[in-house]
Amino acid sequence: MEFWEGVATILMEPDILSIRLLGDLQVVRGGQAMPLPASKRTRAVLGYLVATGARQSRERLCDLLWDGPDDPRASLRWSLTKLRPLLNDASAERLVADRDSVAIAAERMSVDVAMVRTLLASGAQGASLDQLEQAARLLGGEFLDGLDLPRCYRYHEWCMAERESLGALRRAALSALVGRLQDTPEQALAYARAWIGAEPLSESGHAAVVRLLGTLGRLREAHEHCSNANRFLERELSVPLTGELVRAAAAVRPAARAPAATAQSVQIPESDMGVAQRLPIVGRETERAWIDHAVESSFGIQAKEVLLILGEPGIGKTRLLDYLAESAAHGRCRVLRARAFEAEMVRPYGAWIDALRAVPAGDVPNAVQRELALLLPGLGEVAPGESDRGRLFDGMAALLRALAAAQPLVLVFDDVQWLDEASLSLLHFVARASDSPVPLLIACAARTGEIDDNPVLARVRQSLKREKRLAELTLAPLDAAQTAALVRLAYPKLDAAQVFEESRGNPLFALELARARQRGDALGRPLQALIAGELARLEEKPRELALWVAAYGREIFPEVLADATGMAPSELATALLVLERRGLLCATETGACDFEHDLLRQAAYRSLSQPRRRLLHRGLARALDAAAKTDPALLADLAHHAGLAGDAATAARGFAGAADRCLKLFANAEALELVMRGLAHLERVPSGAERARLRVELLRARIYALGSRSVSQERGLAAELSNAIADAEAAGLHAEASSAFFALSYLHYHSGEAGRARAATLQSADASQAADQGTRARQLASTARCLLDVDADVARSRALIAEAEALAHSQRVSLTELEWARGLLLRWDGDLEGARVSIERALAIARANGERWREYECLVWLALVDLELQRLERFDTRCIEIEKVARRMGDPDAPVAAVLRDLARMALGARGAEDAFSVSVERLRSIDNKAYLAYALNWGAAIHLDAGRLDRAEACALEAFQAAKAVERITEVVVACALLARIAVRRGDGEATRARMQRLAGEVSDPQRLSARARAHLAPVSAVGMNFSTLAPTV
Amino acid sequence: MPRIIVERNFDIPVTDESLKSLMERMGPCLEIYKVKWVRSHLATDRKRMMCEYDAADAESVRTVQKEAQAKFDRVWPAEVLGTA
Repeated sequence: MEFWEGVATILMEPDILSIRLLGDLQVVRGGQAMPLPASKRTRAVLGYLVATGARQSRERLCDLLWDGPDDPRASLRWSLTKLRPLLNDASAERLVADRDSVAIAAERMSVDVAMVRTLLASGAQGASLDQLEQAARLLGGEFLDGLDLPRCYRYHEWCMAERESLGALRRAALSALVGRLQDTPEQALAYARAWIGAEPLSESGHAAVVRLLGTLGRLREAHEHCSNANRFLERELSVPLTGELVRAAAAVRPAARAPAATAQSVQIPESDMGVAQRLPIVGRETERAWIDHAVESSFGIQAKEVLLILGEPGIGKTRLLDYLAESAAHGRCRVLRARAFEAEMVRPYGAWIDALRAVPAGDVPNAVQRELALLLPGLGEVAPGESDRGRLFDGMAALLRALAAAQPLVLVFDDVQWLDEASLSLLHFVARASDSPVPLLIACAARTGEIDDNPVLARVRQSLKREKRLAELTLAPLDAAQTAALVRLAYPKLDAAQVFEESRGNPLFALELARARQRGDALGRPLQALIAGELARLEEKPRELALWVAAYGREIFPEVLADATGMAPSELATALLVLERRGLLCATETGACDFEHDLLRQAAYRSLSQPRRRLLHRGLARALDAAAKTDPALLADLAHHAGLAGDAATAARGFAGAADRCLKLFANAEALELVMRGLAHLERVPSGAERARLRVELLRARIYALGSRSVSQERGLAAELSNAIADAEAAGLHAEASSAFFALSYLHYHSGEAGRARAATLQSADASQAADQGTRARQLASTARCLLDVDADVARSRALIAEAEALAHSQRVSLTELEWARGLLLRWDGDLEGARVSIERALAIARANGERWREYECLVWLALVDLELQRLERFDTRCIEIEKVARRMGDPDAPVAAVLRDLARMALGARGAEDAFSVSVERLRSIDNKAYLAYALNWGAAIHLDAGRLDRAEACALEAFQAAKAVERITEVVVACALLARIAVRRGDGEATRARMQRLAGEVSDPQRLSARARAHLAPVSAVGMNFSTLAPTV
Repeated sequence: MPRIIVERNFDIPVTDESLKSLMERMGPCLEIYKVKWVRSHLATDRKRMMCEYDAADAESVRTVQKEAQAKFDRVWPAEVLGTA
């Protein structure tokens, strides 16, 4: 053991710095571990600089860890200020930084990775037994364990490659050790087990375990291991085994078959159970007083504040949020709760979606359902282009106001240091929009040290502080008495003094220590080791399940777990029950399961070797691939796990789909990040159609995610996209090429190259000729409907409707616009009943799609048609509906419905109807709606004319004529002229009659090109002698 | 042709991108409803906007806004005082 003695001696020297990169990053000076900066990125900078051992440019470090819109150089500077006191001392200035670059000088410093490489310099086979043992011991931990930063994909790729390389060294050392220690099988077995832990798919490793168990006479274990390993390898490898494992088993004498584990055989001794039940809260009097006051006063003056609970992991932040949630629920408040997860920082609005799951659809006001459907698909579909981020935020604020108005509302978000940009922006918006006097409290918790790793959170926090909207409660460690009280609650007979010493007042650590003590384990181990010990004590199935949940990284639904693990429902239920009773997992309100604390999850995950992690991620990606087909929210998870499993094509596909979803949710920053990660994976996808398709998709998403401001600054992007388009066309991917041409035109347009933009748009149109028939049908029908609405170019409308009908029929789609246009055309032709049927169909589609404005317009047209059909009862119902929809749309009244209703009453000779009509007409004048004004006044004129009130009829018709002329509604112009002519005839005023007849003739160039309504009004005039076929006045 | 004013308010500052997509959506409707965009004034905080149009009546402008799914608060006809 000379090596270790030498190492130990050196490390005890006070000015020697020892840096451990294998396992938890550790900096040891004079035998003492130094406290490290809480920021993960700062620790990652340290790990990277030490591991590479080379001078790195500041630009590279920024690219590696802070690639984003914020100020990366400032973040790096901040990190270096935290590292300087850690590395530099009187004996050496190790952190050397200048304007352009940074390095760590290896002066008076030892690094474990360098030691391993020295020990195995001549390969595992060339190393002595002692060297192999030392190397295996050093290689026991994963490289930079716990410093995974999948969002920083360049750093992540580097870290994974280092882990691969060091993992290969470890496997080689362990395999060599097993070979050399054949004479001491006990010792060899320990190394063989470590070998299959590091390389679970190694048939040779499993065979070695079986052989050694046989040598040791543990025959049943040997056979059990053989059959488990066989099943596992066949499932994971999907290729025939070499037979080594079977040969090893054959060499072992047969043993009695081990009884299969059944659900009933899983028993948990009562003494071995964890603290599954929730303990009462201990200490935290000040914080509880704040919460009590807030809840008792239904938030009172604190309503404008956001509560942020800060503290280190395990200090009790979640417990305090629980206290708040419980108090609020007792105080008859509604509590909506969710948490963020480190693994899902790219799930836009993820926490909001989770929190809102508890709100029944019936509680969401109709007025905002359309806006919120983006987040809650259960509320209906959102047509592209119908929404934007502003509407989404407004909708959310309106929903929260409505919920809070009905019942005081508490929004709880845990672990906000991991919230995505979109969720944080929404949180900020809602906090600032909560000035109205509704009882709404937003409570969050965050890890103090990791806030600065999330620049958006840091900004939101600053802003809320500046606006005096933030109340912060920082949780200190418990004191000795409080720790003792807590420990006694769970383990009444335990001596808590030592637990306090070791846990330093961290409640989670204290309880884990107490649990270890209770079962007789020695104290003095770090939290990670305590939890790993707890897992090791579990039976195989629950332990496996805990590892799957840990690898998933956040709460997981049992269906996904069942798919991924292949466990039968009964096995799964039993294993979950065991984990729940042990206090490791808990069921969430949504029916998913999750670790009781993120530290437990981290500890479980870190107990896995890198190859084992890959296997788990591969299984999870497989399960998610199927689930994401129906739930696109899972695409980011799919990409995450496929990436960690090393499946580049699935990862790139997942990232492309997830980026597209982010763009739809206006989460551009997240979309850009996903695109960059997708492109990094794409590099490893082999050439072919799949790669060409993904490349186009990712680049297109990148252009839209960059937006008009930044896209012009991306040099080379246009050339890159052009190449991708060429590849896509070569692969026959025309629809993809078309959409990419459109993106290219967008790019050129914003780069000020209008000519090239136009060219690209035309190419896009050519390529899309057959791409999206449904959209084209909608556009054609919409144009036709607009033309009919303004009473212009009916021949063109007819042709457009015919084309749209053919397209819609071939695509089997129902379109509001098409039915609506068809209805207007039928009305124009005089088929009022047919018009009613068509517009009613349009109304039904608009309602089903939540197209509020179209619903309103269709109802108005239906009221018009019913009035013209003289179906007054149905007409009344329509008017009531119009008013209802108008109110839902935020309009206090519906002037068109009012004027139509007054017309109907006037036609029936109701009392006061004329005055009411004057008022409603005045309302139309004030809102300057000339088309409906002309229509209503013409109706009014006709009613007055029939009743012999010629002056009133004339006044109405004259104004109707002017209004219709102004907005060029030919039907109403003709109707007004015809009424004026008839009024003159009734008066017996020959001169006026002639003049009006001439004017009418001037308006009617071809009676066949007039609507049925206009023609109907011409008929009585013809009867008095006007020949419209020759256009010659005969009177 | 009467001058029509559209007032808009945005809770979060409107982006160039949203404005561009708004103009694109409005294009075909402006033509059909014979509405002519004159100019727009965007507040420096990008949270308020006034747009001027020439149109036969306010309702034509309102319809164009609805067709294009453009958010607006008020639409009113106006007289132009001073030099236009």
